[in-house]
Amino acid sequence: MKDLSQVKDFYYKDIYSKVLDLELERLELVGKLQIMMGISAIIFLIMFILFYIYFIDDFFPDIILTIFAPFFLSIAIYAIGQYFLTKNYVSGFKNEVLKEIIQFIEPNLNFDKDRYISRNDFNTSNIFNQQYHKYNGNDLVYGTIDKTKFLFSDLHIEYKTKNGEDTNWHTLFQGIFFIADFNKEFIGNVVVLPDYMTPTFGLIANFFQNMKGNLIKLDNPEFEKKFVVYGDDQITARYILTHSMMDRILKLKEKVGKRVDIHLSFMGDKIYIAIDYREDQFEPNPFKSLKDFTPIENYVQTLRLIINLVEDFKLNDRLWSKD
Amino acid sequence: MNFFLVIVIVLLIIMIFYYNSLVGKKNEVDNVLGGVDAILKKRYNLIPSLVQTVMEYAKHEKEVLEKITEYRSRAIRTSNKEQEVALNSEISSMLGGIMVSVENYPELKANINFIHLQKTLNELEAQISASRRAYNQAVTDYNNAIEMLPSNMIANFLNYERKNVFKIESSQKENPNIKNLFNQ
Repeated sequence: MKDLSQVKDFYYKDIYSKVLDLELERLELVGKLQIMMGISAIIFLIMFILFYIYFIDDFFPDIILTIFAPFFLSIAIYAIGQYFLTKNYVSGFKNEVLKEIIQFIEPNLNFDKDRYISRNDFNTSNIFNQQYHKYNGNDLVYGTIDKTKFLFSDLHIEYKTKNGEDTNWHTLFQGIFFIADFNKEFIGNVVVLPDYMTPTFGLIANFFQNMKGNLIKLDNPEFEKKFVVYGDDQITARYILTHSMMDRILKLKEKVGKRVDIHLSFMGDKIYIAIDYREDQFEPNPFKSLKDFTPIENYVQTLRLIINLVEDFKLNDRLWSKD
Repeated sequence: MNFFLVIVIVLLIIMIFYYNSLVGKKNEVDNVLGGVDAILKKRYNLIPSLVQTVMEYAKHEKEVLEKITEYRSRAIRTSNKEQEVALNSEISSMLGGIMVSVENYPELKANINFIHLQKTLNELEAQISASRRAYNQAVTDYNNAIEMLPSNMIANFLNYERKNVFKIESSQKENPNIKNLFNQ
């Protein structure tokens, strides 16, 4: 796998002409977006004046609403405008730059900006048992490294709650969802989830966690502090979560940082890893110049971290019955 | 009067809860032990074929192979759990040694039957290691329950006694990795 400096060289040498073409497109887009902002600001002002003159005594109880209604309306108009204006640029960036970078990092990989991990795969993982109402995603990367087939994409899963007449949307998961062939054969399911209870409740946490499912208590105190494990069978869970596997999961947690939750599941012959960044990855910001490598560097770091999972989790080591 | 009745009922519910929890923990130990036995049995079944295959090519290992066969027979015969565990530890260690010696016998190393047996053995060793860890955790939970208040009172009443955990040699804490064994 190529390292960051190699990708930087590739960016400035091999695909820089494409990058410069896109940069021109970006500058044009920024101009259009600024005009859009101006239009939205004018719409806001006109609506504010009209509301203030005509409706203040009839429809709105106070001046705050007179400001908020036009404000949100103009923001919505800008957001819709921005989506349509940036569509081509985002698409160009992903096909001309991101795809090239991914295939440079690892030539066996494919990229499709419009596809994502299927709902069926997401449900099979058993990681999120909560009901959800919106399922979206993009940027599917798939391929094989050595013997291991894998795929990952951005996913954004939301559920809704009702508060009287109002419907509120909440994010259940937003980040990278990774699926790969696992290097051991087993029957059953083992799920590793972030432990929110133990840091607060200590020993009592086990009591509550036991009620949620078949709790697996493991012999690695650091792992036990950060994760809670459920599984169908005590022996299978330990067959999968060996001491070295627990260390690898802890290292991954360290890499993604404190604020990012990771969830894992082992099911059938697959390993599922959900990294909850709480934001969409690989989306270019039109207000940032493509001549500067820093934003691209972040994408490369994320891509390398995910692709490296095959290596980090030693998924190609098939010393067991699986070939 | 009603007040005392409520207290008695609450105490009864607590007692039933702790009793059930204690019995559950004891059964969990037996359950996991059953799992350990099942995996050990798979290895007992594998050993004769393995010994026979290795013996054909590696005559110099005869002594160790005979010892493995003898320990296997003793482990199957014994009804003493601790003795069985000790014998199995020896078997694991001897099998590990044999797998290192295989390097000296290229014909054996290339034998398809042996490769298959070796893979199965690796799988079983990993499962044995996992089952021991599961057993130790179940025993620790059980031992904690019979020593902690208030479940220790119920444990005393039921004559529940402490159970011993398996001693896991440091070399067995990790899954056996044939590549590493060869590199030693």
